[in-house]
Amino acid sequence: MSSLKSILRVFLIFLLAFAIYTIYTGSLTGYDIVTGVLVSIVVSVVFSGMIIKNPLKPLNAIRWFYLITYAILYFTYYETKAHVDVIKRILHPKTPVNPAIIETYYNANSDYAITTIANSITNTPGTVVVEIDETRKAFYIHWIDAKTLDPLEAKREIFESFEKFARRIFD
Amino acid sequence: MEIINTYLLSVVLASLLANFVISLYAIFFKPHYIKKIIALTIFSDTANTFAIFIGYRRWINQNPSKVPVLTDLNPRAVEEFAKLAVDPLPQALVLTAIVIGLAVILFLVFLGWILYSHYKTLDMREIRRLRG
Amino acid sequence: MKTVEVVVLIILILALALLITVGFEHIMPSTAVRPPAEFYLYATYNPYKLREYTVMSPEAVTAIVWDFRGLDTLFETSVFYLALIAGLALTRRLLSERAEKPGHGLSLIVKTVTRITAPMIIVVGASIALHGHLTPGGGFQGGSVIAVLPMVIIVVFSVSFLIMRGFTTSKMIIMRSLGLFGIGLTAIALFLVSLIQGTHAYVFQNMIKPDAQTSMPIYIAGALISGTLWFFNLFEMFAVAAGFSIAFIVLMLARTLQVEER
Repeated sequence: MSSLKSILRVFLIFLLAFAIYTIYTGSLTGYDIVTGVLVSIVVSVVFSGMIIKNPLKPLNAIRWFYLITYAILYFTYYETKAHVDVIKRILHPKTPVNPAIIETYYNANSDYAITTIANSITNTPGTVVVEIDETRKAFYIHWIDAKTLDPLEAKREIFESFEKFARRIFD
Repeated sequence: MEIINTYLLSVVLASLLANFVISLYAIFFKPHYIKKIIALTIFSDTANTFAIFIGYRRWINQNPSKVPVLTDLNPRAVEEFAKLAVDPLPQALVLTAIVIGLAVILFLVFLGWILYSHYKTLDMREIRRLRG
Repeated sequence: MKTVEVVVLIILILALALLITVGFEHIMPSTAVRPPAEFYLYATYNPYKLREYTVMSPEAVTAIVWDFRGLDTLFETSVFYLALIAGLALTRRLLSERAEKPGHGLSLIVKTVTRITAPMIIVVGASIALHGHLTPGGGFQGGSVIAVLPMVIIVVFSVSFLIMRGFTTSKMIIMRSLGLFGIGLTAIALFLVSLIQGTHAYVFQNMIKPDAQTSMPIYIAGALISGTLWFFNLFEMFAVAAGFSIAFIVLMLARTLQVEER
């Protein structure tokens, strides 16, 4: 069972590497396919243990469905909302900012879920994750308009929906 | 129209000359070793850009000059390529120059580390005073 | 005060440019290139008219680097190698690498992202190097891209992490030497083959020349590899990637040691 899993792991990394190779090269002649397959085999054997722990997760269609939903929702709704908010603050004659670094607690277990939440927070303008404490499960977030200093309320304001999606995708 | 193009190219040339002057000033008069190395990299990068600039080819009859890479392999494309492509020789020489410049920088950095472990400083004024 | 200086500098540059435009127009690039460049452009891929001088590579820069001016590049590679050896000699007391406990490195977020991007960096570098005779790029560029990975790993994890994973300087030197050995072997391959066959060929020869009719294979199984260029790019990729990795590892070891001494 474990050997089957490791073969599956290598195969998944192989697919990722070959996709990147093809996209970067930009053509699909015989030469590209042969060299791409060779390079991807070497890379996937070397790096398979480093990237995926449980190879059954990437094969789960429900996770992919949530990932796509999250991507669409994030890049259309949440990004626009944050951008509009920051643009308002910049253009306002008084520049109403109230910056502070606040401590909040996340509730996710896998590395990828934590990374997704943190990067989602950082990618929306106005909020930046400056530090993470894994033992206390805490993010330290720099917030352009600190409405509250309470960890739970701040979490509800900033990243509760990100966390919901990230846990469904990666945990 | 032609004169404006020439003027814009001249701006590039003049900025490169200014870059040469500034980096040479920094190499000679900045006292800190690391700053000297940084100025040296600026100097070599300017020289490389200058070489690429010399190899540029003006547009002929509104035909954009091409990258020196063939995309079609038929006889007509080869003829057209030879008429329109920019000079590949400076680019190849710059490739060589970058590697050698990198080797020199690498050696200088190692040397700087040795210098620091000897004198506990990288300030050239201090090192000169300590020696004499 | 700084703004005034910058504005003065900009005005000076614009005035100098005006002077150049009016007075020295002949030093500007024109619509023609120099005669050697004309020949290189015409001969880089021309089996139709210049069969005895062409390199059969659509990429003129790689053709110059590894064929028309191949010996330059060979010596340049050895200069880089010598600089590396000099650096290693200067820091030789560091080379007793102790694989200790890896340091803390950066936060979990950076580590996770690095883990995902690691194979992508290698794949992109390999693609640049393996298509060096077809598209812009080549062995040196591909090798530099691959060498980004050890640097990122040193910064994000720590140098001990890299050494514990087996990327020691001695292994890197072996890889570097193998790459250089491959380059040297490719350079004299055609010479050796024609020596056995009883014909004659030059060192560093790639395609047929008017007085030496042996040639490296242009196509392998229908794919254009342009004779020696493909092999040179491949071996140079290994050599450069390993060389840069050595430099980063030794420099970071030096820093670690310095911190300990204090």
